[in-house]
Amino acid sequence: MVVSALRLGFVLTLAALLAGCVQNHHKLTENLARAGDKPPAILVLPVDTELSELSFGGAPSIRQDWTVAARENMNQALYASFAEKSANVTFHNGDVDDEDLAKILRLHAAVGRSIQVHQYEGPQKLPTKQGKFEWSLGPSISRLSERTQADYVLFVYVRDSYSGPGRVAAQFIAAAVFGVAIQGGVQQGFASLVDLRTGEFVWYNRLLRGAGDLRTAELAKETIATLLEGMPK
Amino acid sequence: MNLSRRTFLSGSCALCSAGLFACTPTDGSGPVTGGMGQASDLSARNMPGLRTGASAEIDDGLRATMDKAEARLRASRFLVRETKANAYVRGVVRSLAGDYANDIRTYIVRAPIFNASQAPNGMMQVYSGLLLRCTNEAQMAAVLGHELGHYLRAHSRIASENARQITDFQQMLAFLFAGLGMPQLNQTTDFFLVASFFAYGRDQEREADEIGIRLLAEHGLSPIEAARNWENVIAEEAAASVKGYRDVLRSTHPDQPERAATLRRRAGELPAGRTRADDYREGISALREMMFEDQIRTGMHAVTILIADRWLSEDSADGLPLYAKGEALRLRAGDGDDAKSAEALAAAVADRRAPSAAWRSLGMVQRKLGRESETRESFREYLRLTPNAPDREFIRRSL
Repeated sequence: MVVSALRLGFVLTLAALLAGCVQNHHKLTENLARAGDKPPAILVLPVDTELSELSFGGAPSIRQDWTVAARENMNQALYASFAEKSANVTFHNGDVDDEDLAKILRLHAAVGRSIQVHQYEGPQKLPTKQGKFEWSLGPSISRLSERTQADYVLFVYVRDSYSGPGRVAAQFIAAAVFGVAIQGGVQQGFASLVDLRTGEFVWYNRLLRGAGDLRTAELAKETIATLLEGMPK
Repeated sequence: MNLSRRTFLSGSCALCSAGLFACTPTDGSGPVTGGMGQASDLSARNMPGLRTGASAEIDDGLRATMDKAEARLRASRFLVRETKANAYVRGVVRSLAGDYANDIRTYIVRAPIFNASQAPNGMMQVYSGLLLRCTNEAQMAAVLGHELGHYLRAHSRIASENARQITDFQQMLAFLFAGLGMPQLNQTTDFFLVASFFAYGRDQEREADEIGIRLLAEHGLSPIEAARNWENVIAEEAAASVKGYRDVLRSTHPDQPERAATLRRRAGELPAGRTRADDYREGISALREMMFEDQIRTGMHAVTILIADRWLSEDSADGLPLYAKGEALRLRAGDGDDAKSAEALAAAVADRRAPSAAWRSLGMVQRKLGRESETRESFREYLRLTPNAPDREFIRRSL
């Protein structure tokens, strides 16, 4: 029974990861340009992230030191990534204690998690959407464009977990003694681009995998690159 | 049968986060009940094994999570910002918390249920439904002292460590039983491990009840009021004819008769104190109307009537509980309720503490009873008192 439960966990994880390879992003447009030839202005919000450590039994506890490092690493990676593209990008300078920003990030997290669950193939895909990609944060989001004159806002949301020493041992025992894999850390999240006039999601890309390490600048860069893959120009 | 490790895990994690907000008071038969031989034993600080600096002991991740929740609460539209009641409730918390007063940040939350919670970062939430159900300071302090007990004893942190240890132990057993070729044994041990987690939580509640009642005694407040809180809850459930479904395995708190009985017994061992009903009434006066209106809107009319009667037993001419009672009777509209409603509302409007809405309710029930001239009088009085009432046109038409 245990072994079959472990196996089921393995199969489900594998299925999730494979599903990740099928289609990760949805978009409404390839072209963000507004009227005229002006390149679209994009506002980039600070990354919404939390990292946790798994105990021997797999119970997660949030690690604030990792979380702070990951936020910094990903914000830097975002900055570098747009500097390379020489895009018309502004970075939101609000800190994590800014309650208005926190509210917007919570709203995005809530809608983003719904998209993750209900847009992709699976038992919880919403039949009423009829395959359409149609999600919104509501028009109140336009207040973000007042100060910045931005056309779009980019959100990045990541939750990541890592096996602590105990969990690594448990994974080793499961693999060596029973020949099965048990769940270690998972990196999951999404990036979205929202139209600041309407609140509509114009692009959304999800991430779900057992790889990556946001605690290091180099691998955080890779995660950001993966998250921004396929973003319309 | 799918009592797998995963199922337990998600259950226990939901519980860990519930545990982050340790809730509502308990009784005193917990593991820390000490002898009453010496006067110093009264002090909650002298209880064996009391941890100090509880807040400083939580890890950064837990603190960051709770700080986020607190920032969210501070911006919430359900946060009650009225200054007088906040100053009063905070003052009582400060006095009970003593040396830890600066650790605790107290918030009144608009929610019409009997509850309060304490987070390990120092955030305490006091629900407006609790303030409505207490009629004196001792009753409120019994709950606040219970919540402080959770904080002083670092219950949230210990509960989450406990949950982690249990999942670790489960994983070990899973390997062991798999190795022995008897994985089915896992289900049996899971059952006991889940039960032990909840039993542990109930012991924490008992300990917090004991701390709460000791704090009452220490501050010269009446300990028997701690028991009255639970007797009131029992009466409320009986009135609402809610048959309390009790899961003996997964209950987070000891059952109410146990808590009431233990607190009553402990109160007998502690010196009697004052209830401070007047201070309480004055302290929360600005919130009473909102709290009664919220309670009426729950639609639990029998409960509203019970709470109103509790206030009326302290002051039978109090127009606000008279209004709440009359309005609940009018909305319930059972046999004989209309006449009783008219009686309560007529008494209500004679008192300046009744809201002007009492005139409207009175008019409505009078119309139902066929007393047309009185109806018009009541509606006119309502319009005179609230010329800008949002429903003024509707009332005018019906004149």
